[in-house]
Amino acid sequence: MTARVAVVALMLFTAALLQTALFPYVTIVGYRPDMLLLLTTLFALRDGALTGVRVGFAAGILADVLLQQSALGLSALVFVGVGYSVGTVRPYLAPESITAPLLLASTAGVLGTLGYGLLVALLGEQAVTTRGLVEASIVVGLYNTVLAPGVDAAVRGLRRQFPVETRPQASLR
Amino acid sequence: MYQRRRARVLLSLLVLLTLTLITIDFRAGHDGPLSALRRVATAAFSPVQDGVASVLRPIGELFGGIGDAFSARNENELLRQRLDELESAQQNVTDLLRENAELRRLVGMQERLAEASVPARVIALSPSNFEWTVTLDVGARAGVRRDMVVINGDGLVGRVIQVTEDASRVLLAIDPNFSAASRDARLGETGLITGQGGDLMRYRPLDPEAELEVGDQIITSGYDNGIFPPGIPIGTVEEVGATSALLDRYLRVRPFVDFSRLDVVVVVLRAAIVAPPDELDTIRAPFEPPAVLQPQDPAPDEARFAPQPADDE
Repeated sequence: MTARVAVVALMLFTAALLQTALFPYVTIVGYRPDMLLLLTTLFALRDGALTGVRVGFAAGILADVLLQQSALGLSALVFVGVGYSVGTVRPYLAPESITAPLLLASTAGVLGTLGYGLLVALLGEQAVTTRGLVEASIVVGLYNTVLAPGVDAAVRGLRRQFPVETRPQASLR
Repeated sequence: MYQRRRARVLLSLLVLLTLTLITIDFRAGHDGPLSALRRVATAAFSPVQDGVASVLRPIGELFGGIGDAFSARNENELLRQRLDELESAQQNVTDLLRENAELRRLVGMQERLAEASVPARVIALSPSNFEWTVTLDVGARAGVRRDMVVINGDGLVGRVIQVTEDASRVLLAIDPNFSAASRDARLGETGLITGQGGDLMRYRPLDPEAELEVGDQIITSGYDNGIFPPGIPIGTVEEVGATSALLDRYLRVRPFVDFSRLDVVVVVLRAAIVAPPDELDTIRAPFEPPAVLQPQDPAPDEARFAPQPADDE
């Protein structure tokens, strides 16, 4: 269990580094993907809502402390919601299919970015234009979809090496 | 069912926790306990980001360049392959030449400012699509303080908003939260320039009837409580808007600085001056008018302020 937590933490840390050091140079029309949101989505898809909420909170707090302009906790709130939502719809999807991670990566990318942007705008801490919000949401959705197969492979590899410990009767299905 | 119930309970607890964090941080502002947590995170991350950036930046720029090429035009495939080969072979030389040219411009800008300053390297950018900040590899140990101005060889980059011992975070001039007192270099008309989150900035002259034109250059005016030394180039007017019924008029300004390719910058080591207006004149160091005010026959080292193709550098 400890090893799994450590590896998940390492994955989040690596994603944050890529997010700040690599992807700002590989943008699509000026927008970058959201690796931490993508990891939250795929962990929730593979391991369920409980893992989704846990990973979402850790990823969100990590994203928040790396930001400066918005209130700490905003990303965590959105990511926790995404983690739980994806974990909740998981039983209605075929997780082993290739379409499930792609569909969820795009949907969660769009809705997660839209939700975060709306919260930021509601708090009035940053000037967010409607056009910028829509553009960012669409591009993050598309970009995360492109990256989803690779990240999903990493999440599945982790799951094989360190399966989630569950009680015998516990199942989301 | 057991896991689903646990997930629901955990979700409720974490939502409560995040709402509490948001409330505390929102009310406390930049000096609250959670800002200290962010400073710790910046201090902990910056050494790793420094190392990672040196490895990932060339890769990122390579991919970025490929993306630009695809979006720009469909060129001859053989020529592009040849170009890629040459670029790969010349990667190190090109990078050194670019850095050399950038440092030369920086030295010129430092001399013009006549202010103590410290060079810095960008080691990370903001992870968010709604915040335009960068992390520098210098901090309080090098004399950097909050609200200090950051420039590069092209002009105004932003201002420092967070400082740790060995790193600092800079709000870029294109962030929507950024604004600076500025003026038109040709007419001297003062106004306020703000970021828009994209390629272009927005300039609002105080006099909506001022005869500003496309191509005019916008520079800092130095009226913003002394945060910005006067005369730092910001950008050129690209589009002049009409005066609204509320007597507002906005101009779109293309910044001189390429914010997608920031590398070496300079932090001007002059803290914001907070003094009564009548004392400001005696505190401010004199600053020569920038070359943008003398378009005819500029001195070689000043010719830089007139935008030129990169090839000329």
